[in-house]
Amino acid sequence: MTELRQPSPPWETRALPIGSLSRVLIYLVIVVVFATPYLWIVGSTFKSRQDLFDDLHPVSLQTFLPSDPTLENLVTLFTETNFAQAFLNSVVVAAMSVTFAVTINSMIAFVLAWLKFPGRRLLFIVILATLTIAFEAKLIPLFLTMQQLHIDNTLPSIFLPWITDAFIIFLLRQHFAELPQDLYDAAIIDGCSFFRMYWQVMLPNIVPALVSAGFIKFIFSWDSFIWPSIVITDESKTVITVALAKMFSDEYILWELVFAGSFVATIPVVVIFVFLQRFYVQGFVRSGLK
Amino acid sequence: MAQIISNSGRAQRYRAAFLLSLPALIGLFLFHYWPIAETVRLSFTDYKVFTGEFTFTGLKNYDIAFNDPLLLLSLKNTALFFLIKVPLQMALGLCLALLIAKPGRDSTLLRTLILFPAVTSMVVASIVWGMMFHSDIGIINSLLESIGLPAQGFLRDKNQALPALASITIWKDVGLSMIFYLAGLLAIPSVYYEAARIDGAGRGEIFRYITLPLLNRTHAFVLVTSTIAAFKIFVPVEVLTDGGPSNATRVIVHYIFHLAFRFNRFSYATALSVILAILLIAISIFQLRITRDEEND
Repeated sequence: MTELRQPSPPWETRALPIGSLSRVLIYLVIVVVFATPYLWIVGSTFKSRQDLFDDLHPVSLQTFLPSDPTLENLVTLFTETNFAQAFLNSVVVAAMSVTFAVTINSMIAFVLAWLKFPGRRLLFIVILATLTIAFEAKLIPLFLTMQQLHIDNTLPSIFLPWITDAFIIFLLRQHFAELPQDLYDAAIIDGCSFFRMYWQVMLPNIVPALVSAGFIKFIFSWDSFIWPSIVITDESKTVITVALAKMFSDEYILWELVFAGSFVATIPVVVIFVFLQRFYVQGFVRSGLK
Repeated sequence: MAQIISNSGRAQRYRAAFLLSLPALIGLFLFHYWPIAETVRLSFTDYKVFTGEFTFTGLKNYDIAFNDPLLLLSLKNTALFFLIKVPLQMALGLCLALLIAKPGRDSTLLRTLILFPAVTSMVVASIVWGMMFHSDIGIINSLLESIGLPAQGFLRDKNQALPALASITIWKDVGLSMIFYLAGLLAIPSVYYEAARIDGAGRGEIFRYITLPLLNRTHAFVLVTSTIAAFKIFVPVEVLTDGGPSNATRVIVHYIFHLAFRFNRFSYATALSVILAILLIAISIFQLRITRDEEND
């Protein structure tokens, strides 16, 4: 399959046949639709509550730019609410989730790619079959189990159920399987054990795929909302999405803090994304269309 | 001798392979297959809140489900949501892919911008658009008023709420659809285009007879994945409308979720989960069939 970056010749026939003026207009609409919410978050985060409301009507450049920038909202958010704790919890959960998921799924992906054993195809199908079941259908027994094991309201209960990930196994198996047979044979001749084959020979060769898998898992973890809102009732174990949603559902909504919270929950991810975009895109594209 | 070495080598390999696979297999059993089996089992029981016991009741939950007007309504709303969202998202995804297919700095920047929502969490996306649509602080109404149009209810209007939710999720998800279409476009061999041009085909014809049909696998993939996502719509509903106004955004996952975790009707909720899971698999198979038939024509 053609890589995304690799240009192939007759672009004109594939791209939309539009003149430069209409192209500029379309670009403008896209930029407005996709950038406005982010500009509004950033601008409002650094405004006082008064300015926030004063600048709403009429909508102008001032709506998005703080005339008198202040860090007050961020300071309040981190000192007077439990947001700092929720942020930290989300970071811990995401870090654990990525570490375990990449390690554990790459191990079985390697076995599926390089060990010929009876039932290999069947096992792979059994793993992929989990993709057809909506995780919403598993929530209730999972929740009851966590209660029975008395591990509900703990951070591990948030990420444990989602570590084995058929999507990641599929993605990594694909990459392992594409490594050359010569690499395997040479290592065997050198007397390399199966485990060292995985750890020292094969794994270093699929680092870009590991980054893809890790980043996709990070986004999944950072985004997760339904499961944490079920399994966590203790305020001190809450995660950033649940804390934000709670702020937004309060009787008296502190709008400036909602903006600041959205800013903290989003901007770091978006900044990381700018650098890792290639891996994110490749991860989805390669798994989706092969 | 060589045989013995390779045999012990194989045994050692199998042992290592088993240990490498074990953690993932434990997770697979404990957190995927076992809960699915439990969901099915619990759907044939009745849960008593006070004792916490599940007693076997056969098909009773399914019986209730088939006569539950709220279930019917939530399925209808979900289907409506799917009908608004999926065709629009696919069309927009394809158009955006065509727009940025031309390599260049502007294409890269646009692609990055359009993908921002995909990495933004659904809760934040919901909240931000909830505020944009809001009647007190929303800038969309503020804009409408400044050009002389009446303010709209959006999420508080029972006719506009579902389309408003659909537009939020399209905004969030269209970037990934675009990426799949872009990959599909780039995978079409150039020779087809060259041949068509030599035969004197116009741009419209090229799009109609080459680009569109050769994207068939991409259409199928985007259709199936975005349909599944649409049927599982939950977060924006939970954060923004809670099923209202007057049940206009009561959708299936939200209904199940509330039965279970607000009203403790775990057994009935599992029965609905089973129905949803079967429905999703049936729809996916149906869609894959249809798109495959088209491919054979």
